[in-house]
Amino acid sequence: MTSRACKSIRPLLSAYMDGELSPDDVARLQAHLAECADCRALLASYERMREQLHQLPTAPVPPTLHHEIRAAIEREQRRRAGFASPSAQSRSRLPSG
Amino acid sequence: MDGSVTLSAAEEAQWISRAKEGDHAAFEAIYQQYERPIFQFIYRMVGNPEEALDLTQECFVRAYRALPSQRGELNLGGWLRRIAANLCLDTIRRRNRFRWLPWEHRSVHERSADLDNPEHAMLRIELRELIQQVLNEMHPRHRLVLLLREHEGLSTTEIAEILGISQGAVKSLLFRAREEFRTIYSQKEQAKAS
Repeated sequence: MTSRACKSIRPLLSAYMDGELSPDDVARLQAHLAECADCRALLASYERMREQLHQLPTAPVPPTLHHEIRAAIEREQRRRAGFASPSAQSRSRLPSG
Repeated sequence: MDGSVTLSAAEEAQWISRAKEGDHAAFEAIYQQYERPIFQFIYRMVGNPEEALDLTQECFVRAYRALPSQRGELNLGGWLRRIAANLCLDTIRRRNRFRWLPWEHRSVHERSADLDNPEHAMLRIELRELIQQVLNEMHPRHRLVLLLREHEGLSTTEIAEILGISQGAVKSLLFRAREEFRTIYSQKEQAKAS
């Protein structure tokens, strides 16, 4: 199989993995794969990559996640309230003590 | 709260509507629904639990600020992932050198299997570390699109919506991302073998 044929077909492999090729392109790709060991090996390496990525462990969720988000939102609410209230703004300009 | 609630689409639309009007409990229901998947996504992007926690907080603060100005029907999951993706890309851009900390977490099942077969466990850990290194060295935008596809399980249409690009551009990015992953992976395997 010529490298030119492989070059035109290889960008289709990725969309093929995602099930997003038209029936015509699927037929064209499958006909090429039947004859081209290099492109079959490339498809196999994409499939192996998918399996490897799926095998990565799920991240441990910090037990404080929800509370940390709530605290951040509450800080944002206080910040907004401070901006919205003229009295709060004038208070913030007064020297402390 | 354990973050395990699941809202129906109709309930979610109601919470969005109420949260837009300033209902704090409604916004809390929203982040309770999405905090875990968003954390997982960010962690996969940045590879560091402390940073992922900070960025997850920042993601929901930005969502809280921006929600009232959102018009029309909102795809909440996609919108939150878009905020998270932009935060991650900004963070990675700011770094001179991206540091990826190895995952330390293993399930009880894995720990037990590791005790039974330490050699197999070592090989699995080595493979994961190799994959993490490959992801680490990829162009951040390629990593992002690959994770959205393979980890989040999103379609090309959904990824296009999140990234604000055409579906054709997503397909092209995915192809380049897979090629980059494959190239870096083979380089690392060859380096290991030599």
